[in-house]
Amino acid sequence: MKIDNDLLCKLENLAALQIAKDKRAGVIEQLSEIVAFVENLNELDLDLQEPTFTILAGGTPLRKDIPSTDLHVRDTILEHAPKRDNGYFVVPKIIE
Amino acid sequence: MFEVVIGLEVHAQLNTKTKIFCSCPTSFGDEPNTNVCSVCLGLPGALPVLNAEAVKKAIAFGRAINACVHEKSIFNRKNYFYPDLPKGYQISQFEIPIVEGGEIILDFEDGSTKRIGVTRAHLEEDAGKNVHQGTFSQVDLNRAGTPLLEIVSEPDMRSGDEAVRYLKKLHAILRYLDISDANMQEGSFRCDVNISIRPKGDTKLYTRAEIKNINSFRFVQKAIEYEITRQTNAWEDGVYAQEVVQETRLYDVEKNETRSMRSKEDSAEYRYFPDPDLLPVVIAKEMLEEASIIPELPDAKKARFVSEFGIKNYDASVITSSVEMAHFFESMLDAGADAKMSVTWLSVELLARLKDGLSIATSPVDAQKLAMLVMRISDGTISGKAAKEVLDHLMQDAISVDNAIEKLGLKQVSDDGAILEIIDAIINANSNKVTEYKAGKEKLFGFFVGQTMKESKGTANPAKVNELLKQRLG
Repeated sequence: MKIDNDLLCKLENLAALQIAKDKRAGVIEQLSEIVAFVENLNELDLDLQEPTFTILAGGTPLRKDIPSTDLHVRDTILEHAPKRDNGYFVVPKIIE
Repeated sequence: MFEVVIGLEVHAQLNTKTKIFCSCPTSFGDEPNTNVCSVCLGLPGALPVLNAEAVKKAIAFGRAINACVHEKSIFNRKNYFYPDLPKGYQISQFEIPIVEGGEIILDFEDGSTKRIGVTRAHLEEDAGKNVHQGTFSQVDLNRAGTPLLEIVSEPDMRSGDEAVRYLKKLHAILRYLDISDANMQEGSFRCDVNISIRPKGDTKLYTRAEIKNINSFRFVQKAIEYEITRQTNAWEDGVYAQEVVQETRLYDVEKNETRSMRSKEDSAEYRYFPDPDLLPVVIAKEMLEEASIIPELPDAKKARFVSEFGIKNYDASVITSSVEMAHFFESMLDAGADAKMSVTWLSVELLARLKDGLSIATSPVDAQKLAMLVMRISDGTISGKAAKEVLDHLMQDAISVDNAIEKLGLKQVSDDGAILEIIDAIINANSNKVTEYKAGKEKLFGFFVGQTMKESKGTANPAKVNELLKQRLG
């Protein structure tokens, strides 16, 4: 995988970061080195291996479908919200 | 000439009592932020625990569409930032969904069918709801964490009509299984349409637009038609590349058009990764077996109605198109009504009278009553014509069928003596016509039938009238 300026721009955008002009070349070099290092893994032949999603054994525990509510949670959480109105959380306008 | 390529994504809310990863109730329309807890609010340290019922419902769906149910599937985090998602990520499934590779069969009026592939169906959590006010937005997290089954089709549909048929069939399957309320208006059945065009004969897929959140079958059809025209025009005008881009579009009901919502080109990278808070979903054998026992589905029910009762194919698909209607029909048969007559009285007469928001489920005339009405026609108590009047009355007045017949005076007279009395009076009053008839003017027979029916105010059994008139006029 090649890290170039376009990809760096995309990463900046996704990470909400800005890399200073004089540091860009260095960052590209470092990122390339990291990716190259990870690519060592591709030397392994894993065709016959099941992908490992977790190193823990067994499946996730399941819960019975029985409702319960804790009304205090609502009051506490709303009380700590920066802004609230009629039981709603209030946030800055999120559509144009 | 162009061909249209349509794929559909449906988000169906599963009708569990509690949310997918916590015990908060899933009820609709409660006060804002009342059904919330540390898990669905995304408070630090709170851990999700999977609802067994959501898993079972997903398995049942997999069985219903003839799909592979993975005994091991994975939950992932889909990361994005929006106020309706307190954790900053949605728990969904990515690499291994619970259900993969199924099919839904579409039926057409001429009896033909078409197979639509279902790529996958995966479990995920719903987000909260935003209410947009002028300068700010309100957030209600009651819905956050409600279990969703996202059902993704192959791009196998070639017209708006096929897309709507697919949705209706899918809707019926969810309702038959009773795994979702699948109410489009309430948002428990949400549909996104992926649509592109290509020159006929071409096999490559061109740029698709995604139309989001369409809340009725009719609007799905209209939105698709609009989008086909937009893309075709752009192609023909030579501006396809500029005008048709991969993006999300919104259907505007008022203006009947689709509009760009946001471009997908720069869309966020979701950074999917296995959720470390949740181990793989491993379905135990007993659970798989239990959840695989599913009720009779529309296709099987339809085939049975055709073979068992001799109902026409198309009628059977109308009767089985919704679970409410199928159950209504079956209750009528249980009550003793004739199958073919029940089809007509349910699918034609009752449906035509269900107006002003009434549905099969809320019909003032229930299956037992309609069955009784049909039985009263069968046993000759009332004529078919009178039965329509009785039904009209029963829609307004919650009395029994027999009381309505009595009240309206529509009881059919099958008693020979009473009919003969009328016939004799008419013969006496029209002796010249009797002479003409006997002299060979056979058309006059109709006159005598008409007079007798009129005199009896339509209550005389027409077959009896015919028989007795023939006797008398010899």
